[in-house]
Order: sequence, then C-alpha cells, then structure tokens
Amino acid sequence: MTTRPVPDLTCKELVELVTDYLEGRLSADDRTRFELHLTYCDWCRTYVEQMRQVLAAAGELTEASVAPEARDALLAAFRGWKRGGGGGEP
Amino acid sequence: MIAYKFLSRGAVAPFTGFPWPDPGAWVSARVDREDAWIHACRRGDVPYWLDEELWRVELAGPVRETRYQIASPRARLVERIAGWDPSLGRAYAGACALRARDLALPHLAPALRDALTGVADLEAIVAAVNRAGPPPLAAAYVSDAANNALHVGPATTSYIACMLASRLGDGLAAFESERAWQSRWLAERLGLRDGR
Repeated sequence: MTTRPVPDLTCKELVELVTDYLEGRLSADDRTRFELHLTYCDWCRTYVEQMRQVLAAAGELTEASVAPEARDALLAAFRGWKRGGGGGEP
Repeated sequence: MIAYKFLSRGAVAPFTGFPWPDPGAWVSARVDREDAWIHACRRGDVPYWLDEELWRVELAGPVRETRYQIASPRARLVERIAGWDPSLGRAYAGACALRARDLALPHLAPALRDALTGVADLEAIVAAVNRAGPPPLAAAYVSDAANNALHVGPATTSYIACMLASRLGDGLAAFESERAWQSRWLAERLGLRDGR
C-alpha cells in the first residue's frame, strides 16, 4: 500500500499534464489520476475544456490562413520579445 | 459482466464527449488498443466517478481490472439508474458532510467538539465552526464539507470527507476506506451489486 495521501492529482499537477492528456500521451495510471481529479474539480474541468477548444482551434490554423497584417504584428511582437522588450504591444 | 457507468446529462461521456447510443446498442473499441477501452465501475468504484447520470452497463469480452475502474473493449448501456437523482445527490452530500464531522470530533478541542456533537443541520455546523474562531485543520474540513454539501454538490463533498480521513488517518488507506463507506451508502440506496 502506498503512503500517497490521495489517489489523484493536485490542480497544479493537472495543469502541467493537460497537453499530454489531450494528446493521449499519458500512461493509463496518470490518465486515471487526471480524470479522478476532474470528477470533483469544476475549475479544472473548465480549464481542460478550454484547452481542448484552444487545441482544436489552433489545429485548424496554417501559415496561409493568417492574415498578412496579423502575421506582421505577431512577428514584430516576437522580435520585440526576443530583444528583451517583454510582451508589450506589437 | 454487469457494471456501472457515470455519464453527463444526455448520456454523454464526461471526458471524451462521446454520445452513447440508446440502451441495448453495443459500442466497440479496438481490442488491441487497451488505452481506448470503455471504462466502467465496480460497486466499490462508484464514489470515485460521480456525475449526473448513473447507468447500469454490460461489458463484453475481456475485462481489465485496475484499482479504481475496469475497462473492456465492448459495452452497452442497459438502463439508467433512476434513483441517482439530485435529491439523492443532496442526501449523499449531507451524509458525507456528517461523516466528516464524526471523523473530526475526536481531534477537536472540547468546546468545539461539544458544539458539533449531535448537530445534524449543515448550516449550524458551519456556524459553530465559524464561531470558534480560526479553525484547526480538522474543523476547517468539516466546515468545508458542510458548505459544499449545501452549495456545491456530492462529488466535491465526498472528496473533502476522504481528504479529511486521509489527513487524520494513514494517508491513502484511510482515503480508500472512506470511499468504501461511501460505496456502501450508495449501494444500499441504489441497489448496486458487484455483477459477473
């Protein structure tokens, strides 16, 4: 018998594993622990659903589908961030 | 094998969003993909997986048994267990909150212990803990359980009771022992049995 206090994850652990969960990369035991947490934690359930929607939407994006002005704004923001300018307005 | 399965409203699988077909229609997963098998509960697993609808299901083919659930490549809904409804959910949450109180009593200072002993009203339990000032850990769990029974629901309340048991007892073994008590409570009222 393990001395672990509970059979599931903490919210913080769940957040760290959410991408692996949604991409089907968790082991069977970790998936069970992940889903046990979701049964009683409405906040994490909402978070996982939001992440599922984000991944579904992002999966539909291609380079060609981004408008030129949006692409330029994103590139400017990333260049500014790389220069140490933080995440300010593009 | 007869087992149990919780689904969200409308017979939808809570984690995958899979819409289950009407009772009697078989659903199949690939036998060689155990990670995609259909999950279900033995009687003792039921308190771990609460959701809005509880169904009796039939599993066919090999059944993999793990610590908190079972899985099979083939399953069908048999019938919805009508007894699991919001009213029983509230009663169950209340019973779990009172269990939390009973677990905590031996660990409380005499004044708070006297104030909580025999008090079955959940509002009164919360008020008694609040009146006592900054609560010790066990009393905080009792108040949390009562509050959740009143305002949140059975899944969170029953989990809090198990967490308290775990903190006061020997970790996971105490957690699982409290889940076993919850399983008996539900089984008695819903007529759940371990089926073969």
